[in-house]
Formats: sequence, C-alpha cells, structure tokens
Amino acid sequence: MLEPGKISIRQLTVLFYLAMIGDMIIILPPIAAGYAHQNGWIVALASIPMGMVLVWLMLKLAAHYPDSSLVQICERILGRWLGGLVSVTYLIFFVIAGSIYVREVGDFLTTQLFANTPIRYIHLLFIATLLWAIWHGLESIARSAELLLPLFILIYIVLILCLLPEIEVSRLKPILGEDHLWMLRGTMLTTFYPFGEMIVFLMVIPYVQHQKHLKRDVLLASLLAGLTLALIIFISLTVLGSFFTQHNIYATYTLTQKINIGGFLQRIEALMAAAWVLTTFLKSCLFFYAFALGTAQLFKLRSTKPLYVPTTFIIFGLSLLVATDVSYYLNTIVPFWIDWNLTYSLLFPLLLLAIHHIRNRKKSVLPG
Amino acid sequence: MRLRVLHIVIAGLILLSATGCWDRKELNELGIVLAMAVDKDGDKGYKVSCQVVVPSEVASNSGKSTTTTVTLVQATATTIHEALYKMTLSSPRLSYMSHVRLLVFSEEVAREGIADTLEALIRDPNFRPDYYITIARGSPAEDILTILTPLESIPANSLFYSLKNSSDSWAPTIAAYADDTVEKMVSSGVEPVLTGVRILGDRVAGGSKDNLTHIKPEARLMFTGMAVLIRDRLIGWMDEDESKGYNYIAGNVKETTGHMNCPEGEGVVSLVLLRSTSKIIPRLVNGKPAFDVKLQVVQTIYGDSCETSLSSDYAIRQLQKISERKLIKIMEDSVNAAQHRLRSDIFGFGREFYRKYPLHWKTLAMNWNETFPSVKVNIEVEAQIRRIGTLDDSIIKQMKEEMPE
Repeated sequence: MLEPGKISIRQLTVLFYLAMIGDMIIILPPIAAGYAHQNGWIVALASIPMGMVLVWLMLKLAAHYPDSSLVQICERILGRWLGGLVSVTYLIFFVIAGSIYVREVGDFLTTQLFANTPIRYIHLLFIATLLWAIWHGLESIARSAELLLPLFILIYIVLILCLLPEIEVSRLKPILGEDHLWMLRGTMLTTFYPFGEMIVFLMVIPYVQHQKHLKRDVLLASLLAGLTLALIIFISLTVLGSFFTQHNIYATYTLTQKINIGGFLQRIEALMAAAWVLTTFLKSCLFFYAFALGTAQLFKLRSTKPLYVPTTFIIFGLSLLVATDVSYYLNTIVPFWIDWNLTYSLLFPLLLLAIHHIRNRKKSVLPG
Repeated sequence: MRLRVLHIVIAGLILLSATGCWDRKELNELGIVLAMAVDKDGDKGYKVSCQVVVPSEVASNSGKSTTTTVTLVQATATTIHEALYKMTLSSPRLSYMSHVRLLVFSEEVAREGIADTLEALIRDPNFRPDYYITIARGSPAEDILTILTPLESIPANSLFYSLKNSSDSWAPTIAAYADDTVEKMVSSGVEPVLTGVRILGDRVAGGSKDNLTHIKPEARLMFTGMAVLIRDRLIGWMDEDESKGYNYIAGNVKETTGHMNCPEGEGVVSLVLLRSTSKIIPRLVNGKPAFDVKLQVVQTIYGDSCETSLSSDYAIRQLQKISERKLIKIMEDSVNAAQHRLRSDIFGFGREFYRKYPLHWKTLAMNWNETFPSVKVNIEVEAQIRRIGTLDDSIIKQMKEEMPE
C-alpha cells in the first residue's frame, strides 16, 4: 500500500466539510452576486441539491471499487492506456487546482495584509507548511482537520453573530426579478465550484476504514458546507449590498470589516483571514496529496515520498505561472474554470459509471 | 544528531520567516491620520490635507504640553495617492490611513465630482470604508481640519462624534459612511446626501492653542445643512427643515425634538420624538409610478406654555393632529425641494419602485431623473403622544390662574 494510514469516517466528514468550504468562502460570494445580483443567496441554495447529486454520483462510482483510488478506478474500467490517459488529465487538474489555491492565498494576503511582501515568499511559507503536512501523511492531515474544525466554527459563528445587527433584508429585493438565464448560469457555477472540486476525495476514500454510513455522512457534510456558504452569501448581500459583494474581490473580508459592536468590538477581520487560510490550506493539502499519490499509483511506484519534494517545486512554480495578474485570474480563470470542473466532476464520472455498467452487463450475459 | 541539527535549522528558519517582518510598520514611524480634506488647487490637481496625531500630546502622562494635539500635513498632486505619498516631503512620518474617521471635500471638488477620490480610497486596502464624508461650506476643506476643539482633544474625533450623535438625536444631519455613499452613487433610483460642515467664528484664531483657553472658543465647527448630490456631483443644499424632512422619510430619525403651536391661544408645546418608523410604498397608477410615504412617530411632551390645559384626552388628540399636520408639512417641503429645486431622488423612491416592480422599472430607469420631479407623493403621518412628562398641568397656566395679570 502506498498510503499506510487509515482515517475514520468522522475524520473524512470533517475534512470534507472544511475542504469544501476551502477557498470558496471568499471566492463564491462575488461569483454568486456577479451572476444573480441580490438573488445570489437563492442561487447558492438552489445549488445545494444539485451539488449533492454530484457528490452522490462520485460516491456511487467509489462504492463500486471500494479499495481503489480514482486513478486505479480509471485503470480498472478503461484499461491501462486509456485509463492512464484519463488519469493523467486528472492529475494535471489536481496539480493546477492546488497551485491556484496557493495563488489565491498569496493574492489575498498580498492585497489585504502584506502589501509590500513579494508573493513568492508567502507562497514559499504556505507550500513549506503543505509539504510538512503531506510528509506526515493522510492521518495527520485528517487529525489536524479535526483539531481545526472547532476553531473554524468558532470564528464563523462569532463573525455571523457580530454581523447580525448590520443586516438589511430590504437589500434582497426584488426577489427573482432579474434575468433567469443568468441565474441558471450562476447556479451552475455555485454547484461545480464547491461541490465539483470534491472529486479529489475519490483519491482518499479507499483509505477510509470500512464502516457503514460513509455515503450518508459525506452527503451530510456537503449539505452543511453548502449551507455554510449560502449563509455567508446571504449575509454578504444583506450587509454589503449586491454592488460591493459583486465587485469587491474579497467581499467576505470587507464584510468582516463592517463589524462594529458598541464601538469596541471591531477590527476583527484578521479572524476571517485566519479562517480562510485555514480551510484553503486543507483544500490545497488534499489536491497536493492527490497529485502525488495519483502519480505514484499511475506509475506503480513503491513509495510516494520521493515525489513530495518535486511536487512542492511544481506547485511553487505553477502558483506563480497560472495567472499573470489578478485580473487574468478573475476574468479568465474564474469564468472558464467551470469547464474543467464540469468535465472532471460530472462527465468523466458519468462516463466511467456508464462503461462500468456496460461491461458488467456483458459479463453477466456471458455464460458461466 | 544530524536530524537534530536539521530540526534546529528548520526551527530557526521558521522563526525568522514567520514574523512577517517584511511588511512591518513601526508605530513610531507612522503618522496616524484621523481626518483628510480634499481641495482643488487650480490645474495642479488635488490638494490633500491630512490631520495627523501628535502622539506625545495625546499620551495621558505627557504633563504640560507645548504643541497642539494634531498637525496638518499637506501636498498637492494630480491624484490622491500621489499627494499622500508626496506628504513625506514635509512630514517625517508615513501617513497611516486605516484610522481615518472623516473625509472633507471642498464645495468645488464636490461640484466636479467625488467619484474618483472615493474609488481610489475604496480600492486601497489601507483605508477602511467606515469614515464619514462631509462637505465644507463657506471655507476650503483644509480649514475645517485646522480648528482645535475642546472636550475632544483630537478635532477629527470631535467632528466624528458630533456628527454621529447629532444624526442620532437631532434630525437634520446625516452620517454618511463612504461605502453607503458609493452604493448610492452606483445604484439607480437613489442619490446620495452628505452633511455640510462650517466654521463659526475666527478661522485664524481657531488653529491656535489659544482657541482652547476660552470658555467660549473663538472658532467652532458646526454641521449644517445637507448636501444633495446627483451621482457624485453636488447639486445644491437643503436647509435644516428640509433635511429633517428627508431624514423622516428615509427613516433615519432615531430621536429628535420639535415644537408646535398650542391648540388654542398663544404659546408652544415642545415635543420629544422617541421613535419613528417610515415606509415608502410604491404604487402603479395608470402605469405611472406613485408613492405613499407612511410615517409613525411616538412623542412625549417636554414643555407646555399653553393657556388651556393639556391634561385631557381631547387635548392630547388635538395635539396629535397638529403634530401630524406639521410633520406632513416638513416632509412635503422636503419632497418639493428634492423634486423641483434640486431634481434629485435622494429618498430612493426609484429604488423602492424597482424593488416592488422590477419589470416596470426597466422602462423607467433610463430617464428616472426626468420622471422623478413629476411623480405623485402622498404623505401620511400617524403621530402618537404617549406621555406628557412629569407634570400633569402647566406651571405657566397655574401661575396665570393664581395671579392674573
């Protein structure tokens, strides 16, 4: 086995919840408001059932091959060469996605907090921490997720409670008055961004101790994470209004700058930054891990460890290369990234499932 | 052994890198800016003035002080940020902007448009969008920042709290935050309003420490009138009553006081308003927009110089009627001024209409500024007088009854 560790279902659920919130807690509000303006929260809510179907589809694929990771499933269904090809595209997806999360952290911190620090030093620190986490294996990542969950929930609840006095529900009107086609597109994005990227968990699920309720718990985690995101979008729209939610690149952060209770409980936005870096860290951890593990499985290596350090170099380089500047990131990557997510979280899993069923039927038709 | 050395090296590296020293800003190298004024300096661009705290003066244990608590740093440049950085030419400290509480525009800048300034400040992550915006009346904006104030040793704080408290307890001012103003600038169907600020008294003497040695300072700052904008340009001013009417309609009145004539005979009754709720209800009348404004107020009597007794149910009801008529008049005057004199939809009638009839709004949005002056606005007030203070009968009435003149 390449991965000696085993994680429990509870750990998987926690990891899933935090990773799904991941970078989305800051990225998603401007996307939702960009497509649906004041109806962004409806879009976010509407995407929850669709996203859960997506997750259910992934779990269904995993349930057919409980001991195989995504790369191994591809090989078993499509054969050595075709399966390998699909696996390679998945690995490229993982490594680029991982790099983009690192870049998001870098862009955010250099824009809001460390204006004069070169972005590569922030990346270096972040990636060094990633390497540290990966080096200690999946079990450590899962355990740190368990440790960080209370912290995240505490920060989240404090922020939401402190923002309650600022809410103006009239900002949400008119409800459903806008262009419905754009809302539909918005729902696509809010479905495939947070939920779709969870395809990475197919690399982790084989290392979960076999227990009942895997499907139920993961679906529950995706439901809760979806609600968490929808609530942030709702708060952002009612406190900041649709203009600032849409056009402020880091709307959630600006949102927490609005907190001012009695003139003394204020300026606590660093908490938000901490929570966001924390969840994004876990998400990029998983993508990093999936890439290294997948590569080892694809080339049938005996150990994953020799791949870790080269992977850090690849991610470090890619994180600087993926986007020339923030505008490129916002205007090119964000609108078109959906195509990747759509391919990897819906088309390929559907294809794999279909072929799996066709082959099984053939088998069962054959005598004996 | 080798592993231990490696661990120590790694720990050392983490210690060195995790401090975040790259972006360190030492407190004693920063000039903390509390207020900023923007003037126009001919063709040279913006003249930006920053009121910077003098830390040794603000510290409580500084003993006898010799200098003023704040100082003014100025620079002129094409853009706001150039000016801010150019200030280092005359100031030893780099301006630190995240504690700005007040932004003052000169009338000239406000008439040309404040959007580019606000855009620059909102984009800059060093500014937090929770400062108030005001417009200087009758003097350049920089002069507002040169008046020393008693009670609050830092003038910017004095202005900030004065505006905050007056908008809470004296209806005619509006505490306009930067982000709310920008939101009104960019959304259709509502226009921003700002409060004006004026220097009373001797402008030159106000900048000296001597200003604080008089019980009655030689120069004072006062908020007065409301600036009405269309998008980001100043169009005109509303006087105190019109501003009050605006605040009633916009639902900004938390507490205020006013007076009205007695139901019979001479004298006035003064009333304190405890609560008010207002609602703008858009309607479609023959395909045209019309608006109902509904205001509910709860008042209490704080002064009574009437000849007849107010301690009857009938008298109270009459007072309610009078106060309703008066409030309607105040609001109608305000709406009239906005519709005909200033032609700016500061109340957000258009936005309310959009929120209720989004599809109809599409046809109206393009030329709302032309439609707005002619829309029908119907105002209804329900005034309640719940309490009459601690006296059941007027002292003045008693006095006159005991000793007729």
